[in-house]
Amino acid sequence: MEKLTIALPKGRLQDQMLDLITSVGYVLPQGALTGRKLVFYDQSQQLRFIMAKPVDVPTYVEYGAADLGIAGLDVLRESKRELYEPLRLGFGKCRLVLAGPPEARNRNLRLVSNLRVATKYPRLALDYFYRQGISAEIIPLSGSVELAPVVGLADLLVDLVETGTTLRDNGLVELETLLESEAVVVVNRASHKLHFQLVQELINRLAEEIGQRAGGSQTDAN
Amino acid sequence: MLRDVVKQGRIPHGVADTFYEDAAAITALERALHDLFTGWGYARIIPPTFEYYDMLVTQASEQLQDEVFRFFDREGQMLALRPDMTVQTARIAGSKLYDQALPLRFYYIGHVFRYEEPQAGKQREFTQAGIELLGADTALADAEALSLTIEALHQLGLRDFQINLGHIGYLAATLADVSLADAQRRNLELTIERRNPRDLAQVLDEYQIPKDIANVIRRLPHLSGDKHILQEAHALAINRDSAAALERLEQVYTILDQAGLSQHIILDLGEIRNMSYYTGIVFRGYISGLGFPVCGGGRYDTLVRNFGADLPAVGFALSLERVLSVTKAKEPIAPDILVQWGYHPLCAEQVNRMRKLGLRVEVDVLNRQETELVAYAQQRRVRRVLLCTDTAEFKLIEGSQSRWLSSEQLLGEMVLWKS
Repeated sequence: MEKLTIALPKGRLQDQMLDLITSVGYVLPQGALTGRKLVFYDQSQQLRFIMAKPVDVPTYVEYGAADLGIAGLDVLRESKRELYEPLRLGFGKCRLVLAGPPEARNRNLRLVSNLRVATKYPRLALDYFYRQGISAEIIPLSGSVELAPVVGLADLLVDLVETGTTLRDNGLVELETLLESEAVVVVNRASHKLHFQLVQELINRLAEEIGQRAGGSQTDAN
Repeated sequence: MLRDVVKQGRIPHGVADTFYEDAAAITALERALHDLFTGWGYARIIPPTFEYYDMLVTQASEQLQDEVFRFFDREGQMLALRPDMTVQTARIAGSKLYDQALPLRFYYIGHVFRYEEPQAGKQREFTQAGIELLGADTALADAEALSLTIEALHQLGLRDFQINLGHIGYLAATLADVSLADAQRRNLELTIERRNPRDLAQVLDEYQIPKDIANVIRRLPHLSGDKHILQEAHALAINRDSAAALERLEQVYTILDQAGLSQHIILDLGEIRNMSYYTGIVFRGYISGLGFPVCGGGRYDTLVRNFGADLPAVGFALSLERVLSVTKAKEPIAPDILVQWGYHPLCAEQVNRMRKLGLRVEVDVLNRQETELVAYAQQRRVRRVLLCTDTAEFKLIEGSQSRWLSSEQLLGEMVLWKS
């Protein structure tokens, strides 16, 4: 029988995602919830799940190692993969922001000739500065980006914030929002054609559940 | 043991050295396509590998413009490596073949160059094969391009594939009375292609698209499936031109259906190829295990007129490397037989005979003795070794067995090997 493979991101969104999948009627094995198993099936053996690092989900899906995936919009836009994005899930909400020390508020960034910006999102950051006509040098980091302006590695940073607490704790303020992010269902373009019914049915079930949770206000993916 | 390649031996990112079974597999695919296209009445066209940048690029999509390899000649003219062969075929047809009997049918197989991020099945240099049918603006011509696409994918050993078929005219007609900047239009197309309903609603809102038009566009990503989607699309059609686009799509689908090919077709009005020259049907083929299309094509009725004659046209192209990245086809390269002393007059006659029969014959040029030759044959996976003598007797070694044969007996054997 045809099966679909779904790539899920480990970490922050994991519990909410597994809860969503359970609530649309799929029974998951014990090991799935502890996060130790990297590959598991639902009880009916219709779906195979793989747990991947969040930034890798679009890659698994574009290459066809998974038919569908759930990824943050931030990761998706940064990866520039060719995927369908039929459904937003309404959770995992956060913002990609430009932030820096409070005095940066009064600076006209267009007049700075060598602005240094630390980020985990070099592509989105570059694109933003390019569109704004600001010349910036991007310093790619893989974590604790808030540190960079504090120790003078960079003037500003571009990073994801949920509540903004980490920024405040380090004496930093938000300057600009680059992107409103949330969890999104992504689909491999070939799978969308070749397993059209299966994919569509799964998306419809998820959309219905999401719609109910939002009190019927969502009208996506009909 | 692997060892580092010396610096002089390295090659740039995005290009590949292809040899042995892989190169033979490409040759086999090319041969199959030469035969197929010729069999459908298409004649080969061989455009130059590089041309003036302005010619190649002005007609291409913005995405292709970004991906073109450019360079200057000694007079300071900007040149470019071709990113596809459709524009070149249009140039040749429009500027040189305008007074020929119509329609014109051409096929090409050659390398194209795009500055893309290298990844599986996506290289900066790859082999493109395709056809262009010029001078016929009919549903039959559209259907022929699609039938030939499906047949080509079959010939290349693919079974599990789908062609996503849309019509750019539906969106174009729907937006006919809306004025959008080029960048806005591209962004709108990109958002439709991603099938992200919320982003689409947002973009339609931001660009202040009138409500009746926005309602149609919002449905585009969902108008995907079998011919039943055409009913809803018809109900949504807001003007004569968008209805005409659907009628053409339906005619093409009907022709393919009658030919027993519709199981490979998914109608999809969200299929918008981001190539500026398309004007009618547009399609892309997808195969299992590859997230990007293996082939694509469509109708471009306004491209050729830039070069002189006003010829409507339709065509498709596919990437051989992308096909191979999925089928993983290999073509054996080992010769059928290895011959010692193959240039000795007594032996040369036998070698010629074998080659005339179509056998692959390798002749030793290192003056090796029997044991060395047999060891070499094993390494190269050659199944037979033939040793000559002064007495016109031949020693045939197959695996661990050997026999002595007269030239008549040898001839008898050859015929068996071939069959």
